[in-house]
Amino acid sequence: MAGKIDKLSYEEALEELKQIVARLNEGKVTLDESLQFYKRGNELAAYCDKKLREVTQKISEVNKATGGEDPLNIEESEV
Amino acid sequence: MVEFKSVSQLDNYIKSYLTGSEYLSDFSVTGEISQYTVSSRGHAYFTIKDPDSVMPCVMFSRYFAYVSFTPAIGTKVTVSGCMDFYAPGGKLQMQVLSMKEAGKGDLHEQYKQLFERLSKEGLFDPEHKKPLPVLPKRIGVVTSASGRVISDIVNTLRKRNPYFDLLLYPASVQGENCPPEITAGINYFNEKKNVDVIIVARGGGSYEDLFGFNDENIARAVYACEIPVISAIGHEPDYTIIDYVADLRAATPTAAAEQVMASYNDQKNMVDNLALTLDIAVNQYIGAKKSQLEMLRNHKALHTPAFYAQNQLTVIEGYRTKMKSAMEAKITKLQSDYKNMHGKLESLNPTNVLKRGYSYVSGADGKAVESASSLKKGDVIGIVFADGKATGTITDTSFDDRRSS
Repeated sequence: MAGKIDKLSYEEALEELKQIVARLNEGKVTLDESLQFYKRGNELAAYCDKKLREVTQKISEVNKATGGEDPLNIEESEV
Repeated sequence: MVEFKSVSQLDNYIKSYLTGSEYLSDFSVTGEISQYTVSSRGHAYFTIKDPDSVMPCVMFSRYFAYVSFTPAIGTKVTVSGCMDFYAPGGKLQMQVLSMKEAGKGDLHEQYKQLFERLSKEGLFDPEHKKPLPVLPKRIGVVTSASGRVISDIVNTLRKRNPYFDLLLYPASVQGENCPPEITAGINYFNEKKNVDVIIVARGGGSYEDLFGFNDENIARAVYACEIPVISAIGHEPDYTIIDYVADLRAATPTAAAEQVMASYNDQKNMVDNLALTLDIAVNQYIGAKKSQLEMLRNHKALHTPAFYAQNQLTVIEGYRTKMKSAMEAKITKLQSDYKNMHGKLESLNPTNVLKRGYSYVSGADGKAVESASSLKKGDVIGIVFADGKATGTITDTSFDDRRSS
């Protein structure tokens, strides 16, 4: 099994998770392996989920004069 | 050098010069109405323009009354008339005698030519289109800072998913500033690489309003951009050149925001589903192992003695059959042995000896007497012949030493 999960990109983690599920579904693994797979798979899923939530909502505007970014206020509304 | 006596004389000269000019005394020109007012007397004062120049126009009510449509700012018109010098204002203006709507004619021609050219060059090739990012964390938007478009986009994103950053590059979305500012916005993001996807957006408008997006520089900036670009210009039926170059064309700005989050939400669902599938898979796996074990445990042999006994009976029956046939063989063999032995025995039958003239003596018990010493005087003996028996009494006995030796 591959190395440390936090070294993986989101895509790599997702791919490994898919493979683990596929192998478990095949059922051609030993009981010990299946438990290892399950543990690893759960860690991968949690990692992917974390990656998905990593961003905080920040809305800003390019300030052409300073080249910086200014916060931009947009009222929340029913779309 | 000519010396005019007065400003009026100068102005009058200009007037007569214009009237005498072959080209300026009777001509037509096409432009877009920019300023436009109608006076209380019904005269129309307006300007027509193209991207580089402006011409003030006046159309007096007696002519204006015959105009068959309602002109407005942005309307492309073809006006006919003559040049006039308005002396009180010191202003050169066109006196318009007739006006008609220019329609989409030449703009559409421009559009077609640009489309053909860029299409031939391969700017619209599907192979060049980049996929949208799997996880768009930061979204760049090039659009007007005012107006509904940006708030529609932000609110749609918020509704779909709270996990995103957005960076707006404010740009004109109409008029002559539109193409350079939109181009600058796309280039800004491409250079900084500070967003994962770019939305170029504009709300709905007339064909002319949206025409800024039929721009070669915008098209080339989008084509060169290494970050995926989504175009969302106007409403569903509106197509501009940028829509063909963009990696994805969204029908509206709101739809663009939805598209961006669609991929995010797909990922979210995928991860959730995989986590669930993992649970199911491992449960099924363990379930399968369990039921295998259960099956073995429930096997009849392990569970019902009757079955076991039955099974053993069959085995025993097998042995019994084997044994029987073995026994039969044995008996057959014994019988044949017996027959053999009987033949031999027959040959040893003492009766046969008797037939040859021998006889033997039997004691009182009927048994053959083998020794003279077992007899004494007075014993009754039988003498057995082949054909019968005689009885006698012992009168004397004597011993022969040969037998006892």
